[in-house]
Amino acid sequence: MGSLGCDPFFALLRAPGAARGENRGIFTALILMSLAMALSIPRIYLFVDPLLGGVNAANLILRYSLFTVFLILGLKLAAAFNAQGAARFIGGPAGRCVLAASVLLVTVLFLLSDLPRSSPGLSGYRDQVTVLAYSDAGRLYTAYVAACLVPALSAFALNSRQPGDIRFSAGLIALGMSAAVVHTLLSLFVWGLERGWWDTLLNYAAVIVVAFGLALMWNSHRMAKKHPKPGLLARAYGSFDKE
Amino acid sequence: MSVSAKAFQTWRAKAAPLESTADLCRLAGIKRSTLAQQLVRGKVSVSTVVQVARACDQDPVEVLSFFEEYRGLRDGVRAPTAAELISQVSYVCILEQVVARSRQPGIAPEELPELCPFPHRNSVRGWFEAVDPGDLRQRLSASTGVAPQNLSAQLTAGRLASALALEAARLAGVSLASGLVATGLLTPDECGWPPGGREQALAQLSDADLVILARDRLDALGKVLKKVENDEKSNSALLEQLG
Repeated sequence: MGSLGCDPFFALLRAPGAARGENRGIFTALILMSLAMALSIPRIYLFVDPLLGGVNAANLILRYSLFTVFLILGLKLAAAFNAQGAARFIGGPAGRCVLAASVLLVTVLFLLSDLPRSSPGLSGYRDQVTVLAYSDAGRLYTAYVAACLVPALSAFALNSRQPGDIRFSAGLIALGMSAAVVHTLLSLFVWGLERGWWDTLLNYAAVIVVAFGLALMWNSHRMAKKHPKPGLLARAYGSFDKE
Repeated sequence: MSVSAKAFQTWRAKAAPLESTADLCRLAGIKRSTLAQQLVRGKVSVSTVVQVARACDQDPVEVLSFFEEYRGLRDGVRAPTAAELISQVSYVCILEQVVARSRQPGIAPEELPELCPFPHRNSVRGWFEAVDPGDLRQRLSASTGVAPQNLSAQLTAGRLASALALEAARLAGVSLASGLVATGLLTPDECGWPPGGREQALAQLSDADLVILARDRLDALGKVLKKVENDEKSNSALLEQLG
């Protein structure tokens, strides 16, 4: 529930700025993240899906919006942290291929599955092989982007020469991305693992932590704009002169 | 570098036999809990020793020489060299001298702009570089076992442990107390730095040497500022992407 609350909240905080044209990318990502979170909640899902025909199209929308969120976040974070490797892997041919493959795979597997009635998280159809493959394929792209970002983000978070507030935010986002990777590895490679607490916890913790990290960045940016630092020379001389 | 609590108690019994610990702390302006903690741990910090010595109206240099770690300090005190004196003048004051000499040829010494008080934040690094014959870092690192990057980090932060400052002075062949003046542990007066010494040392410089000195200082400052500026630029670009 925490993740459901914090995403729209952080998105709303950015709404005035987005209206002025500031950083609409991250704003869109947060809105889509809120949408995805909302559709993960059975009550909302069972309300929305029947409106779309009751054939679980809402689940497909959820997958697509997550892909978009990770595409935006991946490109933005890679550019922000000056991670050329990550930027190449996400925005370059490799990244585009993984994205296209994921979209194709998800769409095809969705169409192949027999999903006549709304079922949150498709939990009622877990006996179909195509449904299982569908949810795994849905994680492919997110895990790929997250894995590309983790090294650069963690390196920044561990670099003591960087400012503390940005390091902390970078650390939070790195933590969230790592959780997404671990979640995917667990569900892809540990066959027969019961879907238990880790399934929910890792996912939602990841969302909360990433959203929180982004909110802190937004706050740092706002603060930096509000209180511009005095000239470098004056600052340097002031500190040289201090006892 | 701290001195052993046992040695401190021995000295104290001789120097201030009548004062209670509480009186001593009040006179020296240190917290009772601080001294108590240091005594319990068996190590009294050298700044505490200096403060207590001052409170007892004793010469801190003499008092420090009483302790094993600082033996020979008293006998190693000499007048500072011209380079050391000039290292304690900030770049702004040097520029003021250049301006004053340019505007008024043959200006009387008492009309020259006043020099800022020292030590200032660049004192430690300035002093170290002034006494460094070229390989002081390596030799200091070899003789004390402190890693060169640790030394550099301390100097960049404007600090130097008392033991290192003492050893650096010994290796550089200058007055043993000079480093402790630059780190602010001892005052210039306590270590035989003549009043007006910096002014005299500057007056000895020819116009050309003064300008070259100013150029070198600006050169070093420019490098530091450029680095800070680049870091700040990339950080604000980062926040621009995500904030």
